[in-house]
Amino acid sequence: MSAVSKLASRRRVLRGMLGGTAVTVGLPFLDGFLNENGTALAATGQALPACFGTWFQGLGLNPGYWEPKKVGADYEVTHQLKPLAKFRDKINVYSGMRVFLDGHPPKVHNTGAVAITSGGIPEEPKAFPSVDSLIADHIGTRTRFRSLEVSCNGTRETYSRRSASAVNPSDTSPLSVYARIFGPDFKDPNAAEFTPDAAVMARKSVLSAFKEERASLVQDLGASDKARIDEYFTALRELESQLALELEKPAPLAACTKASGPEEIHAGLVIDDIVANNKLFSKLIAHALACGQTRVVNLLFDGASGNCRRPASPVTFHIHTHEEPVDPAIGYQPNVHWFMETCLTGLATYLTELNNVREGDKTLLDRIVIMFGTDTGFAKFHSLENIPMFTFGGGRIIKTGIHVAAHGDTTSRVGLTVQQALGVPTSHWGTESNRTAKTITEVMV
Amino acid sequence: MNVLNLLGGAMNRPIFHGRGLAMALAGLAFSTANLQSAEAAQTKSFVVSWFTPAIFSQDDDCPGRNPSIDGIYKHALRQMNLEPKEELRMFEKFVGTTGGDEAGEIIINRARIDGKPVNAYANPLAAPDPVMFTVTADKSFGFNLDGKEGPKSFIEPQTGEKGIDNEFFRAMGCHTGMRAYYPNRPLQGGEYQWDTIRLTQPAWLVTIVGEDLTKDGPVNVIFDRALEATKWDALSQTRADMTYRIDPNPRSHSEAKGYLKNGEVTTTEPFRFNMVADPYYVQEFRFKDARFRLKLLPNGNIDGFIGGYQPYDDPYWGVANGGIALECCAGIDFIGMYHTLKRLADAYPDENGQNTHISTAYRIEGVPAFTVQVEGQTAEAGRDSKTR
Amino acid sequence: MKISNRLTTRLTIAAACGALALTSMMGGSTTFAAPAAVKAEPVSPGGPAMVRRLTPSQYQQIISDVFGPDIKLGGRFEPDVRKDGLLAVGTSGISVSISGLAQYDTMARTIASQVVDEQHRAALIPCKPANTRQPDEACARQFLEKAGRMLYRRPLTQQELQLRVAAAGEAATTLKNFYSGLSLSLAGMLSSSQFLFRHEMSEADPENPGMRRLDSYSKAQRLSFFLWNTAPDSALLAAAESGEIQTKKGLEKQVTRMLASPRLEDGVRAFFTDMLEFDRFANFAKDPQIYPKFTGAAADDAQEQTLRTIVDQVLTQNGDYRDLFTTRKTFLTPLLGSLYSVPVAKVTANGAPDQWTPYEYPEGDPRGVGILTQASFVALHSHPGRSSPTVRGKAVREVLLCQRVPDPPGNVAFNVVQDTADPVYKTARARLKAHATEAMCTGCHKITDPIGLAMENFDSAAGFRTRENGETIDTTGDLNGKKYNDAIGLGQAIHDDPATASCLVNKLFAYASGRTATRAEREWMAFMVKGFADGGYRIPSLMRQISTSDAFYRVKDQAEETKAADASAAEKK
Repeated sequence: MSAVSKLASRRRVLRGMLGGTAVTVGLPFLDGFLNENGTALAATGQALPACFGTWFQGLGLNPGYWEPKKVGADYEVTHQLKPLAKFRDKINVYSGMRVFLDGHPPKVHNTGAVAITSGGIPEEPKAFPSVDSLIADHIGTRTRFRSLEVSCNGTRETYSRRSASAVNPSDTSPLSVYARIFGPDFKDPNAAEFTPDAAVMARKSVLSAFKEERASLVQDLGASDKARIDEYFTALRELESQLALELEKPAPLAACTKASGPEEIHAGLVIDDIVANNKLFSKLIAHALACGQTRVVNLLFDGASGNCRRPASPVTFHIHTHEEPVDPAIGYQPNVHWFMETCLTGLATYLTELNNVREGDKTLLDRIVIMFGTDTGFAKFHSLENIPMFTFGGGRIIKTGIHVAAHGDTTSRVGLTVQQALGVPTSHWGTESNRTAKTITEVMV
Repeated sequence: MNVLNLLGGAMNRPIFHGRGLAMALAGLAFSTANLQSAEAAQTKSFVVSWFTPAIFSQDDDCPGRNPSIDGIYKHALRQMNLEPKEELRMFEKFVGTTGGDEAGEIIINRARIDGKPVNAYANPLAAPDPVMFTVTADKSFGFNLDGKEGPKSFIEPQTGEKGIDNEFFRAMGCHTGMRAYYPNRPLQGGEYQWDTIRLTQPAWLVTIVGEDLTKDGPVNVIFDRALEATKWDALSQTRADMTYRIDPNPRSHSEAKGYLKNGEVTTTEPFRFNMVADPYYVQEFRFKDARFRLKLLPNGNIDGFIGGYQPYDDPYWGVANGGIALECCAGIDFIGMYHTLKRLADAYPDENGQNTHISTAYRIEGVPAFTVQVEGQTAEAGRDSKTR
Repeated sequence: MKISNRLTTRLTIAAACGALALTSMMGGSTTFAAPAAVKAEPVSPGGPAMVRRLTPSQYQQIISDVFGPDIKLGGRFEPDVRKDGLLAVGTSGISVSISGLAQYDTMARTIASQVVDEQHRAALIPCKPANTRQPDEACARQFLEKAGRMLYRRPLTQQELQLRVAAAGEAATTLKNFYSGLSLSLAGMLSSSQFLFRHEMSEADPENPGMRRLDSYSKAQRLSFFLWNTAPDSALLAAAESGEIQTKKGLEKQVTRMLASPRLEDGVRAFFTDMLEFDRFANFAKDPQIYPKFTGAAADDAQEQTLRTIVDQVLTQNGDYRDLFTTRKTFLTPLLGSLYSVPVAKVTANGAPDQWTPYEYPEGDPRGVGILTQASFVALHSHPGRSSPTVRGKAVREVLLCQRVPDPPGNVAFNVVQDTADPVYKTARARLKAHATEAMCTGCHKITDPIGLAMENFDSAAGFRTRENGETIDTTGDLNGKKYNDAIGLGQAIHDDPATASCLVNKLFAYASGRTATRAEREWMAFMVKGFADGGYRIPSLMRQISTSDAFYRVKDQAEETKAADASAAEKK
C-alpha cells in the first residue's frame, strides 16, 4: 500500500470513528498543519526522534579534579575533563551528588553502580529496572531494537536490566552487532512503509472531542478567567497537533547510511583492545541511531571493578586505585589518572562519531542524551560521595553546557531528569533515600 | 525482634547519659527523675566514629615494601617449582583484580596438606612463611604495656614516651595497605573495613563520667555497644547527637578508671577491653592490660588511642574472612601477615613458650551522642564467637 | 478579585520604607481585624465565582478517593504560583501550558489504564462488556456516568455523557478492545478542563433578591476543598443534587459531618502546608560542610514535625491556635533529636522505620517555642550557610502576621552581613548593626531584625547555640512595642499580638475562596475575627463559622466585575 493510499484510508478511519456523533473533526486543519509546517519541521529536524544512551566506566574520577568551580553555563574545563574539552558546550556536569546506603551492606563497586543506574539499592536477589530500560519502555517500543547493549572489554557485563531475571547482556563483538543491525534484516527507514499507530489515532480522536466544549465553558467567565481557559484550549489543540504528527510518516532520516562491516578484533581486558573495540562500536552505534534502528544504546567501556590493565602488566586499574599512593606533587594517583584519561578519551571518540552525523544544522549528538555511569566518587576508599555525574549531548532535548552543583543530593536526580526529558511520565524515581522528585530544572527546557 | 517500648512502664524506663549538664533533658517520654545529669556526676557520651589501627608511617621506616597481589602470585608460582618458561606463561594468565580463574585458584590454594593444594586462608600454617618486611623505625603510637623499656620498644611520636609496645605495628607497617601518615588512617582496617562496616555494625559507645568534666580529676570511662548502627550525616560522617540504646551484653562492656588532665583522659590502671565487632573486621576485640588516652576536643569530639595485648591471630581471622577478594586489594599478603604476627607476638606465652598475644594500639575517634539504658534487652545483632 | 489585587499593590507601592512601612498582604487585614461592635453577621457583597486549577495534592487525593490509593500517578505537575502569600490564591490565576497538558495527559492515561486493568476492573467498573473486543455502550455509560460525577464534582450533562460514551466506543472499535476504549475516554476526562479546573457557577439567590450565590454543586465543591482538600464525596454531592445544601439546616448538617470526619486533618494539613510555604522545601538545601546534620530526610521530618504539632494542638486537643507559638509539646524522630540535640531513642526494630515520639521541652527551654523554633521555620527561613534574622523577621511578619515587608533596594552591599567569620562583628546582631547604618536601611531592618534576632539561638539548620564565634548571643528584642528577652518571649508576643489571629482568619478565608478579601468585605471579616476570638481561637470552629456563612458562597455579579475591570484597564491605557 502506498503512502498516499495509507493516508486516504486513515482519513476514512477518522471519519468512521467520528461518524454518528455531534462532533466534527478538523481534517482540513490537520492537513493544513502538515502543509504549513511539515517541511519546516523536517528541515529543522524537530521531527527526528529523541534518543537515550548510557556510557559506563568504572572507578569514578579523581575528586577535586573533575568538578568545575563555576556553576551554570560557561564552566571551565577542568584538568580531568580535558579529553572532552571540545564538547564542553554539549556536556552537563553534575557535581556534589551521592548514593545513600540506607544501612544496606555495601557491596563495594557493585552497590554504587547499581544505585546510580537503577535509583536504589535492592535487597538481592531482587533488582530495580535500570534507567535505560524505563526510557526504552517509553521510546523504544516502535523501533526494530528496543535497546542495544555493547561492552568493549570482552565481558558481557551490563547494568541494563528490567528486573533481576531480565538482564540485558552486552554484546562484545562489533562484527556480531553489525550483523544484527545491518545484516539481511536491515530495513532502510527511508524506504519503509508506514503504518499509523491505532492507539495514537484513538487518543487523538478522544481529545478532539473536548475541543468543542470550550464555548460552553467560557460563556459566563470574566475576561481574565476566559483567557486562562483559552490558554488551556490552545494547549489542547497543540497536543492534538502533536498526535496528528505522530500519525504521519516520520520525516526521512537523511543522515542514515549503512555502516560498513568492521573487522573482528581481539576482545579482552587489555586497555588497547578496549580502546579499539570502543572505536568500532562508536561508529556502529552512530549508524544504527541515524538509521532509526534503535533509540536506546548502552555502551560499557569497562565495568565497575575496573579490571582493565596495560599490556604486559598484571596490575589492573582497580588495584592501582587502592594501592597507588597519591602523588603529593600533583595531588592524585598518576597511574589511576592515566586510566581515567584513557576512558574519557574513549568517550570523546564516541561523542565525536555521533557528532559527525550531520542532521540539518545540528548533529546526531544533539538528539541523544547520554548519561554517564560509574560506581564510586573516590575508588581508593569506595566512596559514594561526590560521584561524577554527567550528561552528554541532547541539545535538542535539554539545555547543555551547564554545571549544576548539588549539595549531597542523590544521584537519582540525574536519572529522574533524563527520564522526564525523554518524556517518561514520572514524578519521582528511586527508592529510600535515593528516591527523589527533584528534577534538575536547570537543564530542563 | 520485639519492638522496644520506651514509653511503657517503669521496667523499661530509660536512663540517659547526656552530652553534659548544660543540656537539659526532659520529655513526656523520659522522666527527669532518672536522668544521669540530675545526679552529682557529669556524663559525656560519644559514639565511636572511627576505630582503626594506630599507624605512624614515616619515609624509610621499612627495609622494603611488601608485595601486592601480583607479587603474591609470583611467590605462589615459585612454590610450584615450574620450568622458568612455564612459570612465565602462567604469570601471563593473571587477569583482573583477583587474577582470573586459573591464577586465582593458584593464589587461594597456595597452602599444602599432604602435598595437596588447600585453601591458604583457612590453613595459614600450611603455607610457607613468605617472610615479610617489618618496621625498623623507632617511633610508634601505643602504650608501655609491660612497664619496661626494652630493645624492641618504640618511642611515642606525640608524647615522647619511651618503652612503647606495639609489635602489631611492627608486623604490619610495611604492607602498602597498612601504611598511613598520621592523621590519615590506613586503608586496611581503616578506610576499607571500618568505613564498610560502620553503617551496619551496631555502634560503639564511650561514656566518660566525672565530678566536673571541665576540671581535672578522676573519671570513669565506660565502653559499650549499642543496639543500633551508627547514623550518618550529609557528609557520610558519623552523625552527632543521635541517641543510642546500650546493649547490656557483657561481652561488649568494659569499664576503666582514668584521670582527666588538660582535656585528656588517660587510664590510671590497666583494664580488660572487650568489644564485639563485625567479622569482616575483627570478630571481637579482646585486649588484656588495656590502656587509653582520649583527647576531649574543643568541637565536642574525642580523638585518641586505645591499646593492649590482643590474641595475635584475631586480626588475621578478621581479614582472612575476606579471602582473595580482600587480599587482592588490601595490599597485604595474608599468609605473610599470619606468620609475622605469630613470630612477633610478645606476651602471654602458652605451655610451649609461644606467645599468644601481641601488643597493639588502635586509634579511636568519636562524636557526641546520647545513650540510653534499656532494661532487659539484649542485642539481636550479637554474634557467637564460635561462628568463625 | 482583580480590584482587590490592584488595591493591595497600590497599598504596597504607597508605603515608604520607614517606621510604618508595613502594609497588609491581605488587602488590609489589620483594618479588618478591628473588633467590630456588631451582633449580627454583616452582609457581605461576596466575590466572583472562581476558576481554580487543582493543586497537585488535590489531584492526587481525588484519584485516590475515586479509584483507590494504590493507583499510581506518574508524570509531574506544573509548578503552582504563590500569590498574596498562598498557593491557593495562585490557583485562581494560573492556566495549563502545552507541556503541562502533555504531563496531565500522560498522567491521565497512566491512571486510566490502571483503572481498567485486570487487577482493578472488577472493583472499579460496575459491569462487564458483552464482548471485550467490542464496544459496549451500556457498560461504558454506566461506568463513565459514575466516575464522571465524582471527577467533575457534578453529574455530567446528557451531551457530555453521550460524547464520552461515543469516544469510548470509537476507541474500542479502533483498538479492538472495550477496556482500552473505556480507558482512553476516562483519560480524556482526566485531561479535560472540567476536571483540572474547579469551575464555579453562580445562580440567582432566591432568598436575597438581586444577589447571586454559588449553585449547589459549586457550593459543595468549595466546601469540600476547604475542609478536606478534595472533591465532594457522594453524600455531599447528593446534598447538592437535592438542593439540601442550599438550606441553612442542610448546610449545617453537611458541615458538622465534614468537621467530624478524619479527612478534616487532610484539610488542616493542606492549609498549613500552604501557609507555612513548605513547597519551598522542594528546592532547598543546606551547605553540608557547615550543617552536616541537615539531610533531605531531616527536611522531610521537619515538615512532618510541624504538621503533627499543629494537628495535635488545633484538632486533637482542639486548642487555641495562638498556643502554636508557645507550646512546649511536639513530636520527634531520632533524626530530629540529633538535629535539636535532644535524646530521642529509636523505639522500633533495627532497620524498621523510625517512629514519632511525643516530646515536651522543659519549661524555660528556648527550643520549646511551638512551631516558631522548629526547623521547618528557622531552617526554611535562613540562608544555606548562615542564619538570617532579617529573613526570619520578614517571615514572621509576612507568614504569621500578614504584614508585608518591602524588598531591599537594589544597590545594597551585603558583604558585612554575609561574612560570618568577620573578626570584629562576631554575632549576627553586630553584623546587622554595622550593615544598617544608613537611614535608608535602618527603617526596614527595624521591622524585621528585632524579631529575627530573638531566634538567633538557632543556627541555619535549627541547631541550638548560645554563642556565635565565642560571643554570647543577645536575643532581646521587641514586637510592635512588646519587649522580650528571647525566643520564648517572642513566641508569647506573637501569641498576644492581635494581628496573629486576624492574619489566620484572613489567610484561611483566602485559602478557602481562592482570593483575598476585598475592602467591601471588611465588616464581615472583622465579624469572623471576632468570632474566632470569642470561640477561643479554635480553628475547627472558625472553619464552621466561615463555611456556614452565606457570605462565603455569595457571588458578585460577574458582568459588573468584568465591566469594572475593562473600564479600569482602559483608564490605565
